[in-house]
Amino acid sequence: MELVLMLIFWLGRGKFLLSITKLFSYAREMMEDVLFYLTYSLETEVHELYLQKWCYQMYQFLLSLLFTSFLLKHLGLGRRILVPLSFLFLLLLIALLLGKLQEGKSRLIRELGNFVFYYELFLMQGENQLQALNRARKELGFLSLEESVEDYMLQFNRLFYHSKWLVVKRFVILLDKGMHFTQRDMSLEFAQLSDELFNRHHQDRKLQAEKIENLMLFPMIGDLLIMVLYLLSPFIGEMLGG
Amino acid sequence: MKFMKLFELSLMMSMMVLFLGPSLGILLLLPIYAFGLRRIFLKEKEKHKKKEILQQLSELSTLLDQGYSPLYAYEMLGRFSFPDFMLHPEEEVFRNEVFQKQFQLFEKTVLLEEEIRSEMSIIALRMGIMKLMPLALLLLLRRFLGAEPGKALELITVMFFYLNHLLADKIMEKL
Repeated sequence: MELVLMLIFWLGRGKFLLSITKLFSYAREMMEDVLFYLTYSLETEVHELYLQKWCYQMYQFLLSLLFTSFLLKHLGLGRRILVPLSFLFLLLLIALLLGKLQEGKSRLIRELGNFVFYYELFLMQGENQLQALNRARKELGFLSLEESVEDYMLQFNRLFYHSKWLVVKRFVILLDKGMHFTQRDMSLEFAQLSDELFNRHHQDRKLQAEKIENLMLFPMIGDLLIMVLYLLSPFIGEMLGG
Repeated sequence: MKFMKLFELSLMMSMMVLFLGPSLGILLLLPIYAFGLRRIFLKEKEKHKKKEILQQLSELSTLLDQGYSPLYAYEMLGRFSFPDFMLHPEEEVFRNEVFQKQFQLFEKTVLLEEEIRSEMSIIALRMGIMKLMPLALLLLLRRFLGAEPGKALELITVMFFYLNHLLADKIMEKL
């Protein structure tokens, strides 16, 4: 049975992957923000490739599961072990994805803060908006080199669409203002923006610290276990010896 | 932070020495201690860079306010490594007003970062206590233990404690 299923899956892998990708493309709108944080890119093609890669890996996992089941059956061993193992694998996978998602969010907060800081510094030096954006661009991993401020605004609008973060919209408004009122002092707006970014960064670091503090319980539990084993070792020795 | 880590490692090692007592196992702790020291000193080097730059920029700002020319003030301070995101004093377009604005912005950012770092160091201290507590507790409880568990077991216990310490360090690196 497993062998037949494996053969069907193996022969129809192209169609299978294509249909899964189509299915995901329908639901892409719902997943845009998640895909952005996972890939840290604004390009739809990158999102699609990422999805295909994951689908293919899951597909391979399914095949290897069927193959292992087939082998276990022919070796005369129980196949029940496969259920908890695959459940554990799925849990690990979800944990990995959630970790990557959080990492993407933290990266965006950190890099956007740096970007606004450098952008303001370069504006202070007397560079025009486009030059300042081009130089500060290196701070934001997903931002590509553009030829005009409008193109950068488009990119930031896309970022707003993905991140649903109002700070990004405010930055777009600031860029727009800078295009029309070249002589206006915008240090107050920049100060408000960087304050908001700092607060977000602060919150993010606090959350991370809390998580790390919880993770620290693992080595501590390990230490306590070693301690208990050491203290009980003479009694265990006596019990085993007697 | 560096001092705290140094203190933590030294305390951990001294507790391990106390736990092992006079034996050859102590010799094993020496390279471990040296390795730990190397890790601390190499990692902490980078973090002080921004603070040093801020210090030098603040001195430059004072000299400029006193009326020194930018180039002369920069040379007086020994031509330190000037951050590339700010207007360089050797550039013709250098203006004191622009420099002051940039300096204030940089100062604000570094101070805010420092605020976060100080909060994180309090958390790190709490974690440090969590790391050291079981070994200290074991040293205390061992006194009430009637029989001696043996030197080999002591060495194995110390090694496991050290492995857990390394694991905790790895987790704390993310802080």
